Amino acid sequence: MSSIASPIQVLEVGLACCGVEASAATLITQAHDTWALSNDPTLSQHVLVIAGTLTHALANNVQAAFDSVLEPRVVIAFGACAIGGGPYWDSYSVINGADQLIPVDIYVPGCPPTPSDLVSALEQAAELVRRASS
Amino acid sequence: MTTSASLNSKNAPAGDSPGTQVLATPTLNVSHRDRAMWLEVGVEQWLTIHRELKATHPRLEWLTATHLMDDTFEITSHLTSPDAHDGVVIRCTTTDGGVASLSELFATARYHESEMQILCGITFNGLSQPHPFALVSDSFPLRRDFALLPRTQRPWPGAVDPDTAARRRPSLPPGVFPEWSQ
Amino acid sequence: MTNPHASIALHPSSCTSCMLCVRECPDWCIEIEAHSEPDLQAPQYSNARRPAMKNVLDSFTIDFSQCMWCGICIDVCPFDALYWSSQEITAGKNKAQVIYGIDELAASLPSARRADGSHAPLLTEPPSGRRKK
Repeated sequence: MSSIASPIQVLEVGLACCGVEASAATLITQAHDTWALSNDPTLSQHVLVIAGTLTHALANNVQAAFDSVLEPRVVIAFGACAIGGGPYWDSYSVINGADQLIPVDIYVPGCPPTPSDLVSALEQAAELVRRASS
Repeated sequence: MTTSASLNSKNAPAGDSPGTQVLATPTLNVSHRDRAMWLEVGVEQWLTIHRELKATHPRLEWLTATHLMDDTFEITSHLTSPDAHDGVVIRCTTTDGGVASLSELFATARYHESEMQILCGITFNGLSQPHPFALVSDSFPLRRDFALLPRTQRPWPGAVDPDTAARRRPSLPPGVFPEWSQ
Repeated sequence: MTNPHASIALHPSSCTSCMLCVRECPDWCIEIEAHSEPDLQAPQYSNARRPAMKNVLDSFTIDFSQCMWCGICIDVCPFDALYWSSQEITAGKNKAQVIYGIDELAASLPSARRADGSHAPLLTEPPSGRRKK
């Protein structure tokens, strides 16, 4: 398998408050050579960040986001809602955790976790992608 | 019992902006608290009281509904004056699950009424083109008898009692009502 | 800059397994296993129906994957057994890695603070018996 070009592109699915912290992560490291939050649709993404509460109404969209991220892919569940429903675990509309839908590789606890928590997780994820592709 | 309410400094608590307004629409109850006037009207006066107050309080801050039982709902709206300094909270109770829609008077009412319609199952008569919501539910989640299934199914860690010799009635987790046990 | 509220620490000898933190946690994050034993240090009365009992804490876990850092458990503990700590919770490969048991929660004590900024007791210190204000 050919090695993947740096920086590794990251697709961030911002569903709720954690999405704000995830966006703030780009402000901490605007030019990063290991990973980059992706806005360019022509570049292929290998890391998926689920940041926020998953609802039944958006389940198909999250699944589509997962399918659009290429192998080798790493999924990060960012925040309590993405890990297991968070404070909304008892709601009629909430899916308790991204791993009810898709396989998750890194769980970042917090409500919300800090942007630097996401930066550490992204560095881990980039390393996993690189190892899987070499 | 009907009284006519007046928004003047005699009735309002100290510090409120003085203004004089006598309401023509009959009300069931009037009180003042939290820098606002609280009105209770019969469901037949719901539209007329809003039409009358719109002249001085043209902003609809929010509109919500509380399910009391069966088809009885308490509808509450909050109107404010243009500088948001003066507020009126209006309440009515409907026993047949229906009330007049305010969407002709206030554009934002359409959103709040659509939300209550889909979540509570109330009918807002005259609400054309309800706002579409992505709700995945086979019932009305904001009704009192809608059980929060995760709370009834997940074993509650608080049910543990270290004192094994004491025989106590097993307690329900908070937010779970005995009527839900099905 | 350390985060003074990065996680929650437990002083195990102060805990009496009263279960208040377990019951008040909005996300049901805390789980306690405890049993009761006769308290041999309590005064023995000849007309007592059964010996005086004390609770013994067997297991105390906080599931940080669901914790929202509200601090209700710390506020409600009548024995001041729970403290804010600056020990960070690191990301895990699975949810089990983010559930902290007594040992990990007690290990956070050195970086734990009371609400007034004073240090929390170390693991070896006895319960403070301090009344909550």
